[in-house]
Amino acid sequence: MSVTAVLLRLFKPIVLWVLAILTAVEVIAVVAILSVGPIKFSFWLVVFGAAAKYWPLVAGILLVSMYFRLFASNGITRHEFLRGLAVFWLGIIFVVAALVVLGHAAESVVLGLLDQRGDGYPVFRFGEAASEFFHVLPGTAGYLTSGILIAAGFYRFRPWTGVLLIIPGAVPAGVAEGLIKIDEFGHLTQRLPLAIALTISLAATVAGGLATHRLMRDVAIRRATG
Amino acid sequence: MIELRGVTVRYGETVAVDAIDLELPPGKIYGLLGRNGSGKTSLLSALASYRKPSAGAVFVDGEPAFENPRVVRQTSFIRDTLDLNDSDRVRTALDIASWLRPTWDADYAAKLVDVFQLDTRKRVSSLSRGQRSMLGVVLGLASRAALTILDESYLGMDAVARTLFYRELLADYLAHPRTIVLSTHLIDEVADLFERVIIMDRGRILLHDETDSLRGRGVTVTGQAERVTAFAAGHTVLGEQSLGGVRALTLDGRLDPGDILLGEREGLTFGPLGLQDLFVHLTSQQPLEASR
Repeated sequence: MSVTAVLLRLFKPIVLWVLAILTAVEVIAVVAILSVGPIKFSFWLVVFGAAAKYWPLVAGILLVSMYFRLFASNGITRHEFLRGLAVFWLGIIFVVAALVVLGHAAESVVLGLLDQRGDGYPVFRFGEAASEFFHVLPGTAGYLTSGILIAAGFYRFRPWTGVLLIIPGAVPAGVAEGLIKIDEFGHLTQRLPLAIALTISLAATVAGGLATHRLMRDVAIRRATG
Repeated sequence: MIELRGVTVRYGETVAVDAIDLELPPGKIYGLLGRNGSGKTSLLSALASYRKPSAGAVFVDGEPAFENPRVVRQTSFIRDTLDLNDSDRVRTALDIASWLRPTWDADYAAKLVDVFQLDTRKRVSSLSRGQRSMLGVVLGLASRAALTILDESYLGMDAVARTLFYRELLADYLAHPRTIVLSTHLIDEVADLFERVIIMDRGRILLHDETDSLRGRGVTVTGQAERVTAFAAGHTVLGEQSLGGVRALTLDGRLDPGDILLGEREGLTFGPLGLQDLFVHLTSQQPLEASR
């Protein structure tokens, strides 16, 4: 079985639990808010929008700190792991970004049917789905890359060196966050023209990927603590 | 053939493995012996491509081993700490091995789990030290890798578990011959398994030889203390044991048959050299002398 397929099997229960919890939170919170009055913002964009950044960050850290050793000890080379990780990375960012958009669409449709969209609620429009997707994707990619890169710094070097490397490691996330994002009111924010913002964000993410490769390509397989 | 050419492993200023050249013909059980800090685990890490040597390289069948999928896929290195996630269940650890290792034998793994009475529903974190070692043995043996390295895999195992481990190791090795490297401190207990012995000291190979040849390197003389002491005069003593008036000395080198005959007439008995005595002698900073 390929590295990517095994990562998918290992992460499937985690992803399903996170999705179930966030969906439950969304339903409970929206029902609670609606008991007061029509909702004026997208709760899905608040909750899942944040999760689309911070969960990939945590997943990136786990992928290196927990799973790399597991694969290496089962006859997988560093390069094979990194290749499988790259495919998995691609899958995560597309699926997570798509879920943000799909969840927003579902929320918007349901609230519309219930006539509970308040003033300022970001009504979902199918024509803007792609734009929304591309405002989420760079952040998800950046945070996931930063999680992997920061963990790789800690994995390769001593803890204090790892701490120092958090700053360059956070660049992919920081660049994406600073240039292009979506807020809970559905505002699509970009500090530069979309194409340029996407290119710079992508470049920072690719640089993070290359740095990860540089750190991990010949790293010693560390012992588990304890 | 596994070859180590000039393999050096450094940690900063510390040289753990010092320019080692070693050839390991395949299909044998090797015993890697050495004192604490002698460089055994560092050497094994380089052998298993867990660590890139600071200098030199490891070759398997003429191919560089490091980052070579063909070689790495056929290597199983079980460390005493186990390379598992503590939060995973035993079942998950076995499943992952079955997904990733093409040579994994699930039936044999299930049999070993049964032999060691491991509960596959338990989390790795809740296993005792001995049970963790048993899990390591299951992962190492059931992987059926052409090169299986077990680094102090007996830690925490009780006598029964260790006996089961040695029995299973030998039975599986005979059924599926492959290269097995065992690193251990329980030398006498495992010595019968070794076909070849490698002794390391301070990052270097002190000795690499057939186990049977090593046993012929010395003799154990047992008998009345004074007679044994008198007989041993002039010989290098590798080891010593005393109980009441009886003394057993292990002497280095081969004895003259005439000397043995003479000793036997005085009531002394002669036996082969214990591997542990040889190891202690070779790696001890303070050699024992026959002057007592």
